[in-house]
Amino acid sequence: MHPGKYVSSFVNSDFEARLCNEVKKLNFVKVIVIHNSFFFEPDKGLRLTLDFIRSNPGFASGYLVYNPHYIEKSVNIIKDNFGRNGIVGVKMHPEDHRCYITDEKYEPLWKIAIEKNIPVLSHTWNPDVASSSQKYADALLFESIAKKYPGLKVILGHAGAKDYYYYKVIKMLKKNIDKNIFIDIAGDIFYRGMVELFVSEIGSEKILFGSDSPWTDPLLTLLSVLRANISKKDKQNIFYNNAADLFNL
Amino acid sequence: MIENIIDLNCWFGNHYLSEELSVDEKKLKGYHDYLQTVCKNPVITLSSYYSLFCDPVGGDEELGEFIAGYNFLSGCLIFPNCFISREDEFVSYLEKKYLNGFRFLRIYPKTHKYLADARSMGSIYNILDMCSFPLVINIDEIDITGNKVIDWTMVMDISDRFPNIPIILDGGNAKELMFNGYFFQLLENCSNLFLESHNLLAFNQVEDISGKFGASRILLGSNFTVYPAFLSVERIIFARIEDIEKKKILADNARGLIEGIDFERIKGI
Repeated sequence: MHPGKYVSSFVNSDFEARLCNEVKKLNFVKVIVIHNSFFFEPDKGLRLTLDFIRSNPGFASGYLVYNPHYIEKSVNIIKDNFGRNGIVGVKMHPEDHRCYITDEKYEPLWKIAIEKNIPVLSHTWNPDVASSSQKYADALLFESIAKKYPGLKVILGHAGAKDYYYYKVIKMLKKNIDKNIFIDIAGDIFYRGMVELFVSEIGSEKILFGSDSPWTDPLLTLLSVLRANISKKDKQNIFYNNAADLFNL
Repeated sequence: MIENIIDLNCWFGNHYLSEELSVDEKKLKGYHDYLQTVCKNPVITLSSYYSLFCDPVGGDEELGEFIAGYNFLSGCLIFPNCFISREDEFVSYLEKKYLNGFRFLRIYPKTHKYLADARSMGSIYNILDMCSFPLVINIDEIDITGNKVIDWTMVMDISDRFPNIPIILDGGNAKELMFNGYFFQLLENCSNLFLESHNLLAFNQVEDISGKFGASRILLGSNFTVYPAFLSVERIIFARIEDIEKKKILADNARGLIEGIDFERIKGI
């Protein structure tokens, strides 16, 4: 979930005031937030993230953001804040930051993530889209990272993303099923049969629930799991158990 | 249980790139069965993959024969570019298709390579305007670069010059959740503009649009089989709006547009 302004979208929407209430009505028991400002302004992002967590005690936790163009600052923020005040993970956004997943600028992140057992959530997307900056965020690039850093716990945000790229992502994940690579189903990726295919091919233990709100309405992601043709246990894993284990919630 | 649903965005036939996306009679029946679990009288409006990819005239001929066999099906024509500069023939084609059960017309200017602006397509739009035949424009088809550089002003211009055409924007595969700013401007300025619902995915997008412009501006589209059957329908069923507004989106708005089609106005000219 993403609180905070994002100038290129959501014009005329007062989503910030309503989002928390709406997800609570949908029986969400926990949210882990990435404040939109964190991608652009680390100090402000950290402050607003902590404010949000404080405003929603027991309900909200948060991610820090690693900016590969501000390595020292990002690492220091992680050192100072991870494991405290509801901070449970680190988000990276190769597309927003125009930096390939395999770029050496992410090496300090991999190292500190392993050292401190930090789950890393990465934006991933299919590279074959008109938006050329998505090439930085190709989920398949994580194969080499996971080989080099087998202890790394990484979540492929948006499950690799659109246009049926998830078939390639599943192939890669099956090859690396022994690694700690997870996916989340956040975002506008509502393909018929996708959730069922991920469960049957990589197991529900590797799938995390994410709403990506306000980019997508949490109702839609909720429905996509509730109505999926998978077992109750699989749904429980996706909705809660896997995240509770991974983030020590 | 809901009384009526009209889905105006369901596809039929073989998709040449994916068996998953292909819709045969059995898959369609499964979708209809699902709709019957939430609604007494579902109507599914089919568009033909064959018309889109290969031959709009031949594809819609076949589709017309198919939908004639079912009382819960109607059709959405794909505009055949062979009628450009043959508008006299298009009038009789359109009327014949209307009598075959087609209630909407889609244009694919990018895929089928023609101009869709009000000037270039004026004679065709004029026919639609005279009989108030609903026009569906897929946003991907007016995305100039493929990267969200969408020709919104062209839509506004068509709306201005042909105020009796109900223009329905179909989100296609576009990232519509980014476009509230554009939508608000279009809906504010174009009273004959409507949004098909399947890609109104952002948080509260359906509720915000409905609240500001009225639920009458949104029409249900499932995008089946790309999206699962339940997704678009249940997004509206569980929307944070009044039941009367849900009713409009699920069927009443589409029915209103269909009932507004009037070929007598063309004959009178």
